[in-house]
Amino acid sequence: MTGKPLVLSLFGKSSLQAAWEPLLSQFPGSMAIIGDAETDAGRYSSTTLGFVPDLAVISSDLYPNRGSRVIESLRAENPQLDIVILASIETPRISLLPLVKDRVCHFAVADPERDMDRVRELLRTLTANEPWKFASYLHPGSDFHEWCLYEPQQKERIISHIEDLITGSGYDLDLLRQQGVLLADEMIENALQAAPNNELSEKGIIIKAGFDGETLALQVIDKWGTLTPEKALEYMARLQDGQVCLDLPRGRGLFILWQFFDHFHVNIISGRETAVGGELKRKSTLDHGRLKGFDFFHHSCSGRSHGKNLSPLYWKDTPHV
Amino acid sequence: MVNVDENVCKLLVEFDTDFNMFFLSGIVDARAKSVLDELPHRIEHRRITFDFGGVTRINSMGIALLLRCFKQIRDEMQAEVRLSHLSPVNAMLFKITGIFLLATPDEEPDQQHLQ
Repeated sequence: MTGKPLVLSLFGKSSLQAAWEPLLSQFPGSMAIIGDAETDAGRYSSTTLGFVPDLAVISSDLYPNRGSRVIESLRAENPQLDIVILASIETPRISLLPLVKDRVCHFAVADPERDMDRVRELLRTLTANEPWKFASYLHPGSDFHEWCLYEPQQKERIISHIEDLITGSGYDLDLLRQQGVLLADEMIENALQAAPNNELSEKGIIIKAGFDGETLALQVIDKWGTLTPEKALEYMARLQDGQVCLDLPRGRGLFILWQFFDHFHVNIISGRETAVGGELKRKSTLDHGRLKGFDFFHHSCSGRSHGKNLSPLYWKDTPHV
Repeated sequence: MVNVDENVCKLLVEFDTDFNMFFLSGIVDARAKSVLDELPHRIEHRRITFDFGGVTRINSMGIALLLRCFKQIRDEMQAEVRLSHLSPVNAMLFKITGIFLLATPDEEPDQQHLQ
């Protein structure tokens, strides 16, 4: 992406556009179009807009009910266009099937009064062509820990260390501890299951964890890079309706991660590296009905994907082992 | 009582004939396969309860094994499966993965059970 990124934002209601205007106006080239059932493909052509957007933010009151054709017309001129679906926390449950079909990799569930920073970080990350940064979950300057696993037998010890990061007692901390242990187990097992023969002992799996008193941040990085956003979304969509899937050997772990994490991200360099992670807030409650977002950042090992230069995914941040 | 070598599998299961109940303890993961595969064949009654009070963690592999176990008990043994002493995290896990379509919790998630 050269020059200033151009962000197109689409809302169905002016009130929603107004709520997000303080954030979107910070991105040069931002243009908001408020439409109601506007599915005319010509409306979003570069000729009509006057530019080809690098990133499109589409409000959930337009998508998926009326927005699939919008995405189709936008991608006709820029197939690598990143799409962010922006939903409010009151939005009813959305099926992932349209997102699978439209290859939407970013689903942000946010309250503009509380979550402006998180959405700002997402848009900044996308427009800068970067992967999601683990350290962004924690207070600036917070310590985090890092371990490298070379054999499956190390897993329980590492999980125990993660559990010990959450010091203190109380219902909220106990709940956070239990969730953290579960999700760490899932991410490590996913990486172990995907490991090609002999590569685990050679390359290892990296586990990062940090707790700043309010947020538990977790990330697991493998060097196989076998997951794709399309595959991940398909698994999540298939399990979303709650049906019993006995023949699903893999994918249930990703779905569990998505349902428990307050923010869930996956950074992928195909054939090279996969980083899966997220955050758990101490103040969050277990709520199956709550809509949850996700972000999949995908780069190819050829150096370019979606028109973007390759970025290193294994960020050293500020390691404190 | 089904004793399992802890070096092989972390899950331990005890069966109480008086209460027609299986007490599970430890971690329910891929290593629990042999234990859970055997359980449906021990069912002799039309209603069986699984007590999860001693279970510390269940991952997605464990969920897959539990789904298979409960489905076999329901469909082949024609028995009803009840669940007791679920932690809030395990209750949510069971809800989102469809376990509750095959088994019924006896009570609200045990909010005191967070150890």
